[in-house]
Amino acid sequence: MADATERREAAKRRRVGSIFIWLLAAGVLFAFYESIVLLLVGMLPTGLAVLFDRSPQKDQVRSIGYLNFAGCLPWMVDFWMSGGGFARVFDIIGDPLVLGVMYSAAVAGWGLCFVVRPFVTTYLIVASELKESQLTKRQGELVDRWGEAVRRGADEKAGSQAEGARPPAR
Amino acid sequence: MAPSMTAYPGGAVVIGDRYQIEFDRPLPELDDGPSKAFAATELRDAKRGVYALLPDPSLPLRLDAISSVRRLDNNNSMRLLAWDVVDWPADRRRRPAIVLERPHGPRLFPAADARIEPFREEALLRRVLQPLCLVLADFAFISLPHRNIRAENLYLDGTDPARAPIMLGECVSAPAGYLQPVIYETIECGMAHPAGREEGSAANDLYALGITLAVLFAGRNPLAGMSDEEVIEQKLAKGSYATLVSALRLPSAMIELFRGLLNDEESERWSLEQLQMWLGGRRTSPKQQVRPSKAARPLEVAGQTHTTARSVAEALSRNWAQGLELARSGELDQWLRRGLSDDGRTEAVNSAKSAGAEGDVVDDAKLARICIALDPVSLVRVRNFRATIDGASRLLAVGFADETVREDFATILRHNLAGFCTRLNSRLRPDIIRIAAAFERIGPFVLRDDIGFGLERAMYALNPNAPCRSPLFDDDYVADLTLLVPALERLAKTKGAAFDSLVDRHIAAFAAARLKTNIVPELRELRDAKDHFGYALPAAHILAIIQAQTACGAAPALCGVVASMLEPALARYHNRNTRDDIRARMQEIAKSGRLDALIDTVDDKNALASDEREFARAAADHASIVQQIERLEYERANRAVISRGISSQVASLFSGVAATVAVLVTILVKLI
Repeated sequence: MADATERREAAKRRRVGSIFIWLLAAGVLFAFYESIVLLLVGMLPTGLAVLFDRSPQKDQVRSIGYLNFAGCLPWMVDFWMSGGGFARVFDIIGDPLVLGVMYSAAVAGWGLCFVVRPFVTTYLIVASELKESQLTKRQGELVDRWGEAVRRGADEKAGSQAEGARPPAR
Repeated sequence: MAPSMTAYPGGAVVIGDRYQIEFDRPLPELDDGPSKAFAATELRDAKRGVYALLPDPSLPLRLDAISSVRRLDNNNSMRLLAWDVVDWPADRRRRPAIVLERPHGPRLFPAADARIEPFREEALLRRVLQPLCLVLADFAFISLPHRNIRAENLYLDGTDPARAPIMLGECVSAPAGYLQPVIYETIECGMAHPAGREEGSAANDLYALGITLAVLFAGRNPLAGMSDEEVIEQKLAKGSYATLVSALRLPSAMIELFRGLLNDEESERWSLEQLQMWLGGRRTSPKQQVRPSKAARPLEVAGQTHTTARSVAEALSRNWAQGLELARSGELDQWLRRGLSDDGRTEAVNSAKSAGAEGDVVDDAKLARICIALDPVSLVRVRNFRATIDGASRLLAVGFADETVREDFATILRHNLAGFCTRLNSRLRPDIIRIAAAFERIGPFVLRDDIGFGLERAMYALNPNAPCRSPLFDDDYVADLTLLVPALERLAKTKGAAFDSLVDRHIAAFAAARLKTNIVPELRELRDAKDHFGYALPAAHILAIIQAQTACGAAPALCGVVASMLEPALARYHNRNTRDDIRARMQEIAKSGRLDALIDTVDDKNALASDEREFARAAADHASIVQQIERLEYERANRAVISRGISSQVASLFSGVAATVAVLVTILVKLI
């Protein structure tokens, strides 16, 4: 009974919080609607990345988004310093050079993912081989010292651990 | 008494660096039954006359008597100078050897059927009775019966047969009374097998002295030509005095002496004090022996008629099959009721029949009880097993190889025949009653067939003189526990590691009976052993306890054998380094010859537990490594996916850093 009451209270609190956030967003949109339009156009590649990146961590989105935002920021500052207005917004987004810079920054973020991958793969191969040779060496030492029985003991242990012995899924 | 070691300078057998036995010079004139005599020399005093007697190794020595007899110093008794177990080259085995003072003359009475010049009364008293009284007084002082007094065991200690002093021969080379012809034994001891005769008391010696005097007075054995059974029959029918002396023309003064010494009733027989008083001149009227009641009509057993309960008991036991038939048919009961008319005997026989769990069936145990009831002396007769209660364990020790002896002895223990005997006759000596109680205590051991128990245990527990009968010691004589480890050490030297088992049933029972320490846990491990190693460890434990308790010295060869037998024990250690280390230590300790140290090294409980713990840790380590390798293999198989995921993370990180720098630069450029 008490649990049901608590659950109802929590749901009510969440609903109130959500309403507050929407009201705040509406307020921000109303107050900075020109800046937001500029940002929406400038960060269009990031929006596309959100649509295409299916990984749970959204690392590619972040990689593109960070640089895309850095590419948009100088014109945002210009817009704020020039006094604002929709005319100014359209001036900025109407300039192909400005859009090119903004989108190039996003492409740089996207390209970074491809540039890094070979290095990471090479690192993983080397690290894996190094670790495997260390483990094999240690395994040999154990067998030398304790005999083949240590394998059987290990097998029993491994058997008893059953599912727990499987590598974690990535 | 732990004997000293033997050495062989120039091929001779030497005892205790003092007496040299010449094994190529036998002295048949000094043989004593199965004990063979050989010339010997005292190395410190070559003029002293000594000789060595080699007892039959199949017979138990009177080991418990040796140390006491050695202390005696009487000119009329052969001095026992030393004893040892020696390597006997002629037999290629080890035998016990006793060194004795050599008499200066021949035997007084050369053989059982010999004839000599009869002793006159004065000479008999002066030359034989008086000195032997002194010898018996010495034996009484050490609380030991001689049990080997007979005319053939008297020696002249000089060359003049008419004047030379008399010397009584040795008494330890065979079980008490074993060498005595039936004539020299009391009726009950005479009825027993020679090995089953009792240790006895001074009363047995005084009886034998009386017979000896009669033989010397007659100059011959008065019963020569009679079989042992006939001698017993005569003694039962007429009494010992009448059987031996009636045909002799005794001076009236000596009648009292013979009546006193040859009284068949032990309680009525003269004691040493009475004999000394008689020698001192005090005369009393001769004691008449009470004759047993005779039946109105005889009972016929095996074609011979018997009129007393005692002779019927003897006849039934000598003719066992017919005895069973007579008891089963009721003929015996009829004779008891109508012939003997002795209410006491009839009641005793009825109690013999009702005792035990056999019901109305007359079997061996029941007939044995009936014989006891008819003749309630300290004698137990089962089929061919005929022994006094005191001598039964000795007969078992001598005849252990014979299965019927073992079975009969087991019957005695299982049916507590000794206890039945003591219940019927409350006048038995206290030591007999104690032995009967020991029989009752040992009974449960016999019923168990486990190693360390059974009849072997009964034999060694009841018979402190029995040597170890292990087949390992067929060529040795392990008289007591102190000789056991040295005997195994010699075997180890000759046989090397070719031992099937270090502790067999005999050695286990011998050790269990002789050790002061309880070795039941080790015996249990021996019983439960499933393999060679399972047997070797508790066996080595028992030998280590013996070595420590008897302080019998180092045994490096035996330790080497034990070490090789315990080699599989090292498999209990998982760590190969520990194993190699212990193996090296075992070899080192084996050289020192200490079994306990060897076992402590192999069977170190702390080291074993620590090894087990470390092994468990190592197995866990190994299991973890296996898991890690499996994980690496998994990563290798899915490297593209993993690499992509990590690359995105790294790229977002770099992107974030670059963006942060760009934002800061923008802010700095635009706003400042």
